[in-house]
Amino acid sequence: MDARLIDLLPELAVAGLIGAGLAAFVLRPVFDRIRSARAWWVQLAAAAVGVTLVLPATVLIFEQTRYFTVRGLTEVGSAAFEEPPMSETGARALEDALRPGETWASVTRLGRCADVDLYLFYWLAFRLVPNPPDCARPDVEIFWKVAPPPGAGIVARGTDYAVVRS
Amino acid sequence: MRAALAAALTTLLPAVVGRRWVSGSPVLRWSLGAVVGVVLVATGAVMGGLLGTPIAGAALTLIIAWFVGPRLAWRARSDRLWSPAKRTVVVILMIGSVLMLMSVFRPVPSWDAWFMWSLKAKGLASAGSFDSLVFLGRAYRYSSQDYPTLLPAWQALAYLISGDLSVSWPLQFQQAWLWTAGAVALVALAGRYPGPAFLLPLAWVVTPEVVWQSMQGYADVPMALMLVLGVAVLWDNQRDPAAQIVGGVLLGGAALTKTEGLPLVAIVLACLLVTRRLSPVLALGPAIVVGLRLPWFLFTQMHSLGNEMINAATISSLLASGSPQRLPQISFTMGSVMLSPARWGLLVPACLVTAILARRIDLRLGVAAMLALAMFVAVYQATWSFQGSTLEAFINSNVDRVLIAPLGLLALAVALPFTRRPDSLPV
Repeated sequence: MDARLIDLLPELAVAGLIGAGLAAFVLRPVFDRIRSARAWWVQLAAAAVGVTLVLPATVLIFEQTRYFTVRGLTEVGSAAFEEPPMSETGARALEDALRPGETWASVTRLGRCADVDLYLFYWLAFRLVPNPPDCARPDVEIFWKVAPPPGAGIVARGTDYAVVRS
Repeated sequence: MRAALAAALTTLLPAVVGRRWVSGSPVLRWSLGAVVGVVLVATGAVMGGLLGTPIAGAALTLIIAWFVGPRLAWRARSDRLWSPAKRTVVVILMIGSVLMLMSVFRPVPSWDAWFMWSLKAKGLASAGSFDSLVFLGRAYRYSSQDYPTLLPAWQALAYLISGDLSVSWPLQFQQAWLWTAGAVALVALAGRYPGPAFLLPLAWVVTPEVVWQSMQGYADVPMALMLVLGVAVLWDNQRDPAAQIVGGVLLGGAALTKTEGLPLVAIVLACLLVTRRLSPVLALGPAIVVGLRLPWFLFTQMHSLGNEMINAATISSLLASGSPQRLPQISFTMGSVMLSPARWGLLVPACLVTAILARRIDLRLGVAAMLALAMFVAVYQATWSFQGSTLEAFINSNVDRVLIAPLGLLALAVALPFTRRPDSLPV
């Protein structure tokens, strides 16, 4: 996130400048009318800074949106600008393999339902509702960055995943 | 196409119905009415979800609200927006339109947000009931199953109408819509009087943190908007039954949006009403809050869904000083975040300097804001040692969102006294 922010500094600076112009335009009529109120300048400055900063904030949201769009994410994003815990194609292969009511489990190098990173299992649990996870006897398993056992019934396979039906 | 229909129906229909609960200028009716409408339709979906049919619950609530709205409508004492403030509303609408446009290309963005909120929307939409795996199954314990469900219920309506559980942009659209309506309503409420009263609420609602968080899928901004708008409606109208009803609906919405919503609502109601001469009408707002919050509370009690962070063990630990005392570090971290210009602009210094220079602050709301901050300090103190991470990491993971509601109350505490003469100016 920090590295991305540094990359975005020029855009953020330009957005801030435009925002300052916008703040001057928006608050000018107010400036002309409130100067007899107590502490008017403090309140006006706070509002002006707020309006100025709203454009850089919008630029950040735009960048975040672009990040999701490039990766084809339609359902869930990821924390800040970090990568999602699993590729979109892997998640969709598992979704396609599941029939209504069937259960699933994820398998990593640490074992079944054991997360290499904390969020893979949760991330899949969100994606696969209403199919519930079952870490004891799943109908379908996805092997993530680990090879399935020999002879497993692979129904879909990618560079870093294999979907296996029990 | 159906996703667009879902986004439109779940936002426009509540606005059309909600505007009948507010009378006065079109700006105030459509903006405040839109937020009231969202609370009503989402509450209907919660009640419907408890009975196994969220769509029917929402539809029935909308029909009833359509007919009873004009009988209960709240009329603001002065409802026309001060003309120099009008450009502000136009800018908010422009920013809101940009956010709504971007939402069409966005999934629900943040991990925590979909663990806690959107997952439940999906669970309710797929099962048609709260009595289902996502809310009661052990596999989903991590999602804090006891959390109040106003936001997921509203989002579930979008999933149900769109019929597609793999596309979540209508949920983002709903949040952008709510920010826009809430921001306009806040400026319209505080800008009814000539003078600077709307400036600090404006500074709060357009601050980078509020705008950013409103698009991350969390419930904090919706909860804070309902809380702050409810307070703004009730602030100088406490003996007006219509204000109690509309304010009560908004505060009830806040209490049903997040776990901390209920204690925050209790704080503001206590601070607003405690010094008043007792009268039956003062009980109306609190009764509505209890009425809206109670069904979900009973559901969690029936199914033994407890809060993992705040429970008897953590409270006992806090009272017995069982976990290492870190109040200075917690206060310092929260204070330094509040004073960060990149996050909060000049909001907090401006509130403090204005209160000192103008020598007026609404004491009741000021106390409410301080109690809200103190509550979060106590929560951090009670829970950080159970989180499995350092205090700094735990606070930094959520302090931005936690501060939204208390700082909104602080802005109102300093701004609202300017709606009274001699600080208000000739038009």
